[in-house]
Amino acid sequence: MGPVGRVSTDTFDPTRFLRSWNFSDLPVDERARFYRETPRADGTTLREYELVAIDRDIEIAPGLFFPAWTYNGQVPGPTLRATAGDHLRINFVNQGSHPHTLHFHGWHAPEMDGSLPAHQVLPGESFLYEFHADPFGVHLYHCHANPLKRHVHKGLYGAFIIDPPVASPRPPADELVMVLNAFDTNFDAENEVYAANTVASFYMQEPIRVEVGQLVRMYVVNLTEFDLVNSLHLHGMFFDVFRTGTSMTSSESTDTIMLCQGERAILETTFRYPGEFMFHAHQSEFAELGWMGLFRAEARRAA
Amino acid sequence: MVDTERVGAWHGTRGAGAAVLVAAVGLLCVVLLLPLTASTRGAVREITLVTRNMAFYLEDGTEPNPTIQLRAGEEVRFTVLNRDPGFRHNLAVEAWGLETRYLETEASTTVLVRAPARPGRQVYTCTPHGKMMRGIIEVVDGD
Repeated sequence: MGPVGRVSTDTFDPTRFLRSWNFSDLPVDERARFYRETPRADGTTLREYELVAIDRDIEIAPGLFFPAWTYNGQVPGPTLRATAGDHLRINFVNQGSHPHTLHFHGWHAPEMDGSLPAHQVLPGESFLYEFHADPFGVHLYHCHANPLKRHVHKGLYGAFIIDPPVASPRPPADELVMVLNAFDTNFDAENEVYAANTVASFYMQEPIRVEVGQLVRMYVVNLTEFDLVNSLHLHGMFFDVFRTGTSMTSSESTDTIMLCQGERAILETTFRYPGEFMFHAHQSEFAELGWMGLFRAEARRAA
Repeated sequence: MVDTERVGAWHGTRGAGAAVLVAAVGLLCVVLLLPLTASTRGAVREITLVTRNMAFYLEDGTEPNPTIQLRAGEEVRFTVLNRDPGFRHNLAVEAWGLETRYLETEASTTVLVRAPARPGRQVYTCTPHGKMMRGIIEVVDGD
């Protein structure tokens, strides 16, 4: 089952993407081009980002290239991560071929919303977005230029995680970012390829490695365009759901969660058994068109 | 894929009036251009610019968008090699009226230019990505 061959992971590696935020996947000197953090007197952090909209052909299945609009050359865009109360400064540069914006979910002033025609950043221009990280949870950012469905579906979106205040953090866990997305490759306003993190069936070929007995925390964001809902089903176990991640108390325990576009949730579970466990959309059509993967749980290494 | 562009800016022709714009059409033009490209000061200087990670680099260089120093009036052959998967890049120096064609990944092009006769600083860019891919060409007094 699944595609024949492999995509190149030279420019986008879905395995690295899972556990990368604030450009932690880049070498130190290159990272400094896109991300800087400065401690502030009140204990919070100033986080400065350089986000660039840019057209790029990306490989979404072996040999299948999609003419994407990207943030920083990748789809999903880089995951941004801050702690509640941090000051965020995002310099957005549009190097793409169309007007774009950055529209963050979370509290901010109206002029920082990146949504109205007056907010559009034209090709070759830039805009500085500035706001405080609030509230804690798992959020998203995306382009809000018109036509919205095209700008989103072309790849202009990413995950935006705000951790609870330093004094009351979530328990330590193996943390994974999963952006549920899909691609309309022939402009018929329907998707032909589905995935978690862009590359169809990637985690079937490269299972996500986790440890038995270790808490696993998934930050799941649905950015699938053209379909009303998406879902995530995990085989052989249940997980705790924290919708939008805005509470430290789980609202339900289940093995299947449904998300509308823009909806997101934190899922927590601990693998009991070693071995391979499937996860996929419970819309079978999406699963068979690429939104399917495997976890490979391995016994905890002896201390 | 390698090809040569014979557009480009011809400078240092002091007294020759306006720069000559030559459309590259066929072998005849190549032959006609040869006398112009022949250096009076020795070999043509070769500079290779590699594009990767949304920046220009000198071949084997580590500094993004480095300052390139040229001697006034010297002849330089720029080779631009696109090593940026999925991106189309080019090399442009607006002040010289120079703009290469867009290069697909792994494509390259060369362009022969004569540095301006007088010292100065000009900006080089990639046309569609001019905010990130932008560096300085510094022209200094010749020997």
